[in-house]
Amino acid sequence: MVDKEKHHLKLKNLIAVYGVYLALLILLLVASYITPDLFEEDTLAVMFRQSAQLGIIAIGQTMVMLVAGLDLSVGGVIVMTSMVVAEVSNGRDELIPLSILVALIIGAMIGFGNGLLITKRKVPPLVATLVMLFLVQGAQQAITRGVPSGFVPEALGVVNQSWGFLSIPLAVWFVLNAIFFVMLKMTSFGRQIYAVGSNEDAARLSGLAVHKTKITVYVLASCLAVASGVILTGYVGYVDRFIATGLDLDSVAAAVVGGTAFYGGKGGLLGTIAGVLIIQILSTMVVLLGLDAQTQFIIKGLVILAAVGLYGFAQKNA
Amino acid sequence: MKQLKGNLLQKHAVVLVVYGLVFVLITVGAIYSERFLSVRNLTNVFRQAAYLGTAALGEMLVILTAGIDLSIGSLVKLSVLVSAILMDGNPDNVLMAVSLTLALGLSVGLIHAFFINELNLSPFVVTFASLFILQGISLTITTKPIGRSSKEFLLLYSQKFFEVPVIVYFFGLLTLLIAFLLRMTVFGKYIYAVGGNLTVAELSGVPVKKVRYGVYGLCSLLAAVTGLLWLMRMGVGDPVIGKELELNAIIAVVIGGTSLFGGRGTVSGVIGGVLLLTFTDNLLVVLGVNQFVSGLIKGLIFVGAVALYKPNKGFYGSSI
Repeated sequence: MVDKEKHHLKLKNLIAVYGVYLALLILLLVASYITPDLFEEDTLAVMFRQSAQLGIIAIGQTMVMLVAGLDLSVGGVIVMTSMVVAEVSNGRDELIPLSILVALIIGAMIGFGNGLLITKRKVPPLVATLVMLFLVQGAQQAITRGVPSGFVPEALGVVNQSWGFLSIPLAVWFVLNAIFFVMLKMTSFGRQIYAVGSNEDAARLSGLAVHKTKITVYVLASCLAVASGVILTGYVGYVDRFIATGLDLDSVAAAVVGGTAFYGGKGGLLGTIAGVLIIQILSTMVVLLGLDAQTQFIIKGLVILAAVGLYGFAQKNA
Repeated sequence: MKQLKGNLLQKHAVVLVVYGLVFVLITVGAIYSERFLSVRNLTNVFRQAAYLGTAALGEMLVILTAGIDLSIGSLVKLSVLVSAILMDGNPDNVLMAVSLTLALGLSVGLIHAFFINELNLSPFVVTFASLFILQGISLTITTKPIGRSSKEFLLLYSQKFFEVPVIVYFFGLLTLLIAFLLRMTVFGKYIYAVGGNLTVAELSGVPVKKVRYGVYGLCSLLAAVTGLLWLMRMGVGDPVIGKELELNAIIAVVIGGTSLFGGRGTVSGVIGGVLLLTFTDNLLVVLGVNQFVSGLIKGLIFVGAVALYKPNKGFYGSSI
C-alpha cells in the first residue's frame, strides 16, 4: 500500500520534471501518424532552422524569466541587428565582423537600458522592456526614414549551409545552449541567477549583487537576440522590418511551455529546448495538414494553457 | 502641518507629474500651432482618448487586484469582427450585434477569471494564452476587412452635442462610473483589498474569487465596448484593429501611477496617462513632425515618463 503510494508520488514527480519531454515524444508519435511528411529531410531542415532562430532568443528569455523578469524588446533588437548589419557592411564581406560588433554594442546598450530601468528605477520589466522597444523602433524609423537601406553581404549566407537536416543555425543553437547550460548549472553566476529569482530579498541580504546580476542577464538576452538576428539576416538575405514579427512572444511561450515560471527561480534551458521544439513542430504540422496558417495561434494558446495547467497540477500533487 | 502637506504632495506625486507632462505638451502645442487649441482639435483629442481610455480603465481594474490582462488587444480585434459581421449594414441588427458582442466580451472575461480562480493559474499565463487564442480565432475568421456597420451606428462617431462628440460624453460618464465604483462601493474597496494584500483580504472575508470574476468580466466587457467604438469609426470589421492595444493600455495605466503589484492607483492617474499618450500622438501630427521622427520622440517621452519617478518613493510605492 505504502509502496504503491510512494510509486505514485514518484511518477508524479517524474511527470513534473520530464513532462515536457514526454509531451514532445507523444507529439512526435502523433506526428508520425498524421503528418509523416514532417520527418522528410527538407521539412526537418526547415523546422530545425526555425527552431534555432527562436531557440537562441529563448535562451535569453529563459534567463530573464529566471530572475523574475521579461524581455519584450528582443524582436526590436533582431530588426535593429538586420538593419545595422546591412547599413554598416553595405554588402561588403570583409566588414561583416565590424557590422556584427556594432550590432552587439548597440544590443548590449539596449539590454543595459532595460536593466537600469528595472533595477535602479524599479520599473516593472514588462513596462521597461516595452518602452525600450518603442524607443528602439522609433530610432530605427528615424534613422532609416522607413526605408531600410544597405545590403546584406553575400558571405553571411553561410548560415544557409546545411548537411541533411543539420545546419549552421542548428549548430549555433546547440553550442549556445551548451555554454549557457554550463553557466547556469555550474558557475556561481548561474547560481546567483536562480537565487535572485527565487527570493530577491534573501539574495540581497546574503550579499549577492542583485542589480548587477539582473543587468547582466538583460544584456546577455539582448546579445543573444543579436546573434539570432545575424542568423536571420543571413538567411533572408535582405533587410526586412517585419523579420522578427511574433518572435518575442513566441520566445516567452517556449520558455513557459518548457516549465520556466514567470515568478522567477524555476525552470531552465533543457525545458526551453523542448518548448521551442513543441511550438515549431506544431506550427509545421499546421502547415502540413493544410490548415489555415492562422490556426497556429489558437494551438499555441491551448498548448500554453495545457502546459501550465499540467505543471500546476504536478506541483500541487508531487 | 508641514509634514501633512509633504505627505499629500508625495501621495499625489505621480498624478501631478503626469498632468504636469500633459500641461507641458499642451503649452508646447499652444505656442507652436494655432490649430492646437481649437475646439475642433481638442474635442478630437478627447474622442481619440476615449478609445485607449475605455480599454485602459478596464485594464486598471484588473491591475489593481495585482492581476493583468494581456488579451484585450486581441479581444478588441475579435469584437470588431464579430459586431461587423452580425450587423452586416442592417439597422435592424444593431441591437442584436451590440448585445451579442458585449456578451462575448463578458464571457471571455469570466473564462479568464475561472481559469485564475479554479485552476490556480497566474493571470499573466492565462491572458497570455488567451492573447494567442483570440488572435487566432480572429485571423481564422478573416485577414481582410469584413462585415459592415449600419449607417446609423456609423453616424454616432461624428454625432455632436453642443459641439462635443457624443463619444466624449460616453467616456466621461464611464470614467465617473469607474471612479464611483472604486471609491464609493464595497466592490471597489474589495478590489483594492485583493490587490493590497491577498492573504489579509482572504482572512477578513473578502470574496476574492467573486472580485476576480468582477474585474476580469468588466475588463473584457470594456474591451468589447472598445471594439464597438472602433466599428463606429471604421464602418467595417478590420482585423488590423487592436494590435498591441493591451501594451499601450498597460503603459497608460502604469504611467498614471497604478502599481503593477496591485492595490495602488487612481482613476485620475490613469486618465492622465491616457491623455499623455493621446496628446503626444496628436501634438506630433499637429506640429507636422516627420512621421519617421515621431516614433523616436514618442519612445523618448515614454522612457522619460517611466524613468522620471524616484525608486522607493511616490511611484510604485504610495499613490492611492
